Amino acid sequence: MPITEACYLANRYGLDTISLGGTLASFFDLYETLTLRRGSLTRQEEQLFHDLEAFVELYGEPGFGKPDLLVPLTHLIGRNTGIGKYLAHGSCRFCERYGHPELSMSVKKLDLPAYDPRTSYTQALSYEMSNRGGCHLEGGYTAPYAYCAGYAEWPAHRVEGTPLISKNATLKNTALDIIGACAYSSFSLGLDEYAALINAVTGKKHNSGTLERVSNLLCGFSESDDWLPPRFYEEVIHTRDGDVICDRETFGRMHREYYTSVGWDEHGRPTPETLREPEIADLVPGGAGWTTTRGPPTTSRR
Amino acid sequence: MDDNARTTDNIPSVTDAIFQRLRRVGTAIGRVNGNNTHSGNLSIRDIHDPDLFYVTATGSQCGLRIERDIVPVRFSEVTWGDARGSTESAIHRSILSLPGVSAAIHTHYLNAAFLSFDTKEKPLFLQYLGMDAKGHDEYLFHPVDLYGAFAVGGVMFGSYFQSVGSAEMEERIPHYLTKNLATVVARHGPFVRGTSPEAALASLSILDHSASLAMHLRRHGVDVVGLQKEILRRGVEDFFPARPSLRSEERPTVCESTDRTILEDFQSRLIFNDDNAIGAYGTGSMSQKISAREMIYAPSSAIPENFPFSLYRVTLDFAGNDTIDIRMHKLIYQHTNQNACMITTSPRATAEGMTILAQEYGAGVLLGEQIDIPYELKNHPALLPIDAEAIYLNPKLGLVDMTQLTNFTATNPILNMLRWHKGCFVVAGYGVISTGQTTLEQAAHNASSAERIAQFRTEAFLNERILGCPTVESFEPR
Repeated sequence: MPITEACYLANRYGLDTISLGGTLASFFDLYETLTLRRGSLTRQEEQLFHDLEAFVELYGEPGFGKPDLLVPLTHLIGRNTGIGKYLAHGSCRFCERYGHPELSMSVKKLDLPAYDPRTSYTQALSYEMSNRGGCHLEGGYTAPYAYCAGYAEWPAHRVEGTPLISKNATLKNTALDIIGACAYSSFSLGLDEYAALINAVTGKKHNSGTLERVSNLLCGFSESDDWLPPRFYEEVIHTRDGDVICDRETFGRMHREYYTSVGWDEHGRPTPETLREPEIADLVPGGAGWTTTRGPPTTSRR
Repeated sequence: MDDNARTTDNIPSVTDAIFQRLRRVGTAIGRVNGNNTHSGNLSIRDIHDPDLFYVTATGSQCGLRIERDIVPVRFSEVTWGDARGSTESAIHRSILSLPGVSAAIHTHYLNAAFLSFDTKEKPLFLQYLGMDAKGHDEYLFHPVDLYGAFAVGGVMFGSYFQSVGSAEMEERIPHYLTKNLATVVARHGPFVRGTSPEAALASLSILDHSASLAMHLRRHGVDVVGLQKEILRRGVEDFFPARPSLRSEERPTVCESTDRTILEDFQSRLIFNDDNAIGAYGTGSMSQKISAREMIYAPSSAIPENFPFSLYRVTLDFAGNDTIDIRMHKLIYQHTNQNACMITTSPRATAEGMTILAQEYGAGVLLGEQIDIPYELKNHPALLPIDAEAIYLNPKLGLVDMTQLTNFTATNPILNMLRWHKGCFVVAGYGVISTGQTTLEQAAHNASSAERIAQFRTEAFLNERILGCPTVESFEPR
């Protein structure tokens, strides 16, 4: 019941339920992690306990397995008060505030949905490459491909070809967003049908994924933002088929394959040829003369 | 050494390798209903002893069960135990005596046998050539599809006074096989020679698919005999726009993918297509695109279970030595978002497609003539399903003429056919090209669906003509 009520309230407050869940999970994780080290915390870490004093007094200590906290926390976030004032910024900024951004399970600061990327490499790549961030819709809803996609089922841990599947899923869901179609229509319609719908209206070829990428790059994003949180490369998850993890080197290879498949260079920047096609090169200062790039993220600081 | 001792010593044991090999081929024939449970016979030369061959035992089960189901027989003499060999062992002996022949197979593949009910009074599928010196009618069949025309070529159909294990068969079948890979005993079944049992099996399989195509075309009113005559007049090289990629005995089996799931994926599709006669053994192709530059490519879309097959890692750029099949895969990957592709002989779907093209644009479209066919979104040839499942999944199959097989530009209408028709269409005289945006399984689904679409239409068509039932068109979606 608390989950249902929290979801209802989230909708009333205009909160995304996936981000809400991800943020609260990171909050509990952070609290439990720091509690174990209480006595040797930095000032920045200690700040969490100061920020939480009023909350703890009213509701007790936060943590996993306490469903009764969901409703009051949702109210606090929705009203932007108490600890909710900081949680309302999402898990990434919340964890950063206390010196632990690695505890935010997000990509490009957007919280990940429930589908664990270690159990589906296509979904993992879609999270990473989504211009919006760790989104299972804009990036492509490929988790079902691993388990329940009928004849479109793609082996969860196949590497060869996976970037192309993620790319197609991203293209498809970007098309959905453009025309405002129901996400579930993608289970029966293909890329070509969506392309025909869009082209019928616009009369043009569009490369909106690259346009969004250009926007992100101009805003300071780089290839280093195309990675899952480090924990997914460092901690295995136990599944019925054995322990699984994302391998950093393998994902580096898949990133490069993905970039190539959409016409970006090895650093994830649209090539001059790619920019020419959708006529967006003039948005990029100096044409496609990208100058800087950051490397992949380092390991977890946890 | 007395005679008795000599003949006993003369009988070598059948090696496990030969037994397993013939068993595998026999099983493959059984899985496509090429024989009833116990009919047909196979033979193979001994690679070490030029005087020895092995033939399946009379009455042995198709697919063999025990080693005694294979009988060693000498070319030079009759020895103890020869009687266990097939009643047609003598015919095999004669075939295997031909230069370069190492294996022979006799089966009762249905489509090839169906064609042989032709009569000189009304030749439907075969060219009537006249009678030989002893009064036997002789007919010629030439496949009208690309794979059949190049892989099998002309096939003599002979009539016999005694058409099972007879002396006249022993005389005439090797004679026919001197020139051709296969011959069909009228109202009985084909005999095929090969450099190996697998090569002979491939010829049989392709012949049967070509026969199925010809039979369905003729039933729909296409002048198949006229088509064959035109192919023979111009020669296959001139008639067809390109050579297909064919199975090669010389190429070693290789696997250039290290991913076990990819190997298993290809294997299951290859076996399914062979078992269900969606593709003829050793023909067609299938691939999975694995990056913006490469695909994993199998130079066949149908392989019997337990047969070896190769997977190659192939670049997507056109190369000078590309086969037509490889170029088709590359063209599709260069210009669409498809990630898997399959080309199958699909005789029923191909026949339906060719029929519609001929009906709408004239017989010249099947002769490779330059016909102005509109390939526009709202005006292009298409094959409509009549069964609910297909109407739901593949509301239409696009159709293109054979000349498109040499168009390797972005203007090739096959690219739009894939876009407009959920990744599946028919190429006249070639087969079905099907694709998947994600998996090879999607392409396989399209290929199997296409063949079933045609089968539903065929059955409805026969009901219409024989029983006066409603027309096929009346069942088409509006």
